[in-house]
Amino acid sequence: MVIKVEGLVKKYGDLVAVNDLNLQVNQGEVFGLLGPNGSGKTTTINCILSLLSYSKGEIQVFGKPMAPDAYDIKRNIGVIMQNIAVFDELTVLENIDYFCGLYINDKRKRRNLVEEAIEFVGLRDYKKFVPKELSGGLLRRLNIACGIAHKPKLIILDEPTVAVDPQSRNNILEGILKLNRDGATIIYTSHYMEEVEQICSRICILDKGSIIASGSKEELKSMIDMGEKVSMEVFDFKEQLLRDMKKIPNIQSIDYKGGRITVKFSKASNNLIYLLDYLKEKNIKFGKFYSELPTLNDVFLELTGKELRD
Amino acid sequence: MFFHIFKYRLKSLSRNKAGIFWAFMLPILLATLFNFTLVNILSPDKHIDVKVAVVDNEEFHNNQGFKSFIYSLGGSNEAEGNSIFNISITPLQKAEEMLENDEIDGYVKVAEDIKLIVNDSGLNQSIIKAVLEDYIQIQSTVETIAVQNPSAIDEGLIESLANNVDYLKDRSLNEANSDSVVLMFYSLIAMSCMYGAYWGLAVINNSQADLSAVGARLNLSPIHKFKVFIADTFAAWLVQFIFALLQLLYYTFALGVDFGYQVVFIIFTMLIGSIMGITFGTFIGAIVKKSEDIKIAILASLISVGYVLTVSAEVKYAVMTRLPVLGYINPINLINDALFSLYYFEGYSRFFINISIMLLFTVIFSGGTYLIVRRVRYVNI
Repeated sequence: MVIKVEGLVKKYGDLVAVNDLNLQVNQGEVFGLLGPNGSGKTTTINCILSLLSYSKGEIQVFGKPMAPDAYDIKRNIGVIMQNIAVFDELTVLENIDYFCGLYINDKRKRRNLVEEAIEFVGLRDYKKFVPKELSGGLLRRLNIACGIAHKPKLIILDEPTVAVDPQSRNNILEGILKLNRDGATIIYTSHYMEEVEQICSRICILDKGSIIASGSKEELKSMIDMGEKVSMEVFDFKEQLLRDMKKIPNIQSIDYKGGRITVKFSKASNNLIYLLDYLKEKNIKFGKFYSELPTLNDVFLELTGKELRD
Repeated sequence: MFFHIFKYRLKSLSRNKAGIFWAFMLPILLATLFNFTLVNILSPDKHIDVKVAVVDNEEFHNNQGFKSFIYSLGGSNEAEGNSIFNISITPLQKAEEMLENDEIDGYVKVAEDIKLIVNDSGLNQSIIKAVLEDYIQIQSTVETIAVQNPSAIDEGLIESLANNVDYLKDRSLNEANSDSVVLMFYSLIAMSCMYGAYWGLAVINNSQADLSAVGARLNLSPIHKFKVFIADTFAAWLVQFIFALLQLLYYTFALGVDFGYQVVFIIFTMLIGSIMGITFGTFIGAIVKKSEDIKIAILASLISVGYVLTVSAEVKYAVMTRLPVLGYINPINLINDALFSLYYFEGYSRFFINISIMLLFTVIFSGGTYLIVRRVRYVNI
């Protein structure tokens, strides 16, 4: 086990930011901490890293108690914080070399690691650029390179794709999976459920400082009653239609927004057949028609009654 | 590891444009500006002018010794064009009017004894007082010797005592050319050293997780943060010292300021002043729990006030006579006074007193910083 947290409580005055949190991260997994902004993800990470003091709880990393001066533990951790943490006056190469040098003394070894990190994040052509000359996406990549150049066994990424263009985001996510394949255990925090769903093997959903569910994405989705979600374009909408459609078997909820009706069905067979039969019987004309399996947002919505991005 | 951190901090600080502005460009700009606008005003020709009246009464005319003394003050140096006294012999009523209208700094009335009447206290009044006291002391000495050893008068006593009036001339006590402009440049050097506080602030900001993202990253690394802090501080010290040296070169060779022959001691003062400035910045950075902008504003304000209190001889004198404690706790005054003492005095005791207080401040600032940031575990980031 790489990380074990028991009964973690962190308070800011009267506000409980993390409430009796227990979690375990196993070696080799990509562990996702998913939750809306302010749910306690970053606070939990900062407590795990002994950066923040906490009110109660025990934290072990690599089987040893974590403390601010646990340098042997810190040596094996790489952290990519949400905020860009680089020196504005140093070039890409200098920044990576500086931070790598805090972990690696051997100059030759460090030079190779820095080159690998630059290659890994695709900044070969930007070695001599200073941060302000880089785009947002490239800056994020530099931030990542500074955190992983020393090849840590545990990598913690706290919202690394905030304000990043889709191309850079894909590069970052692919890179994280590659790091995992190379043997690193990953903790990934995000409020983007698509990202967490895409790369995490196990996910912990946080809300108001508490874990509301955890497991693989399949396990999380199986926790809720919703079986599928159908959305369709309608041309002649009337309020009465929504009331009538609720009579269709297995319907959990039905909404109309922006010319589309979204129908959520509970787990059952033949949901689509019931819906199509109804539309045909009532001679309701419809356009584009989609059927989707539940997402983590649906899981969050059903468990908390609110959207992940609220 | 230490050298690795030191090397990169040296690079990053020496490329820090804001720091370069405060610690290097601002003093250079001010120096250039002052040089072009104030040099004529503060040139050596503009010596101190002490206006004093002597009451024209019977006692004055009867006191031949004092009369000669007064005439010698007002007249003997006039030929050389550097007498600091402008003396008028006038009736009492006129003297009172002149004093009331600020036309004179004070007037002297000879009665049973010699009295000085002033309306204000300041440099000029102090000079008159010192000169009169000197005269009275000499007069008393002569009278005592005349009673106890009359033959001494024939052996040239009066002539030897009369030599004391030499100090009334504008003259430096060491080999350098006296120039009040130099005092202004000392203040600029002192201010520049104290603007090293900006580097100190950058050092503390980059070492604390609650002050910057870089600080957070450093706190997560397997390095004792005090090691990082020390390496950063030395890098800041070196950068600041190099900028101070460049300023000295600019003042000397580009602006033609003559700092005298004590260059090694001036450089030593800049070295100590620089570390005092840097530790001042780390201390303010650690103790003030506000944004970086507010900290910069606090530093800039404190340094500006300290600078203003030393920039002219009159203000410096007023502070040292009326509120001497302020002079000793003003770091800029300490640097300024150390340089001033090198320029104006032959000995080094005053210089080393200032250097000792500067070192004491450095220890207080760095010790205070250490106590604030050691083993800190952040409540909030």
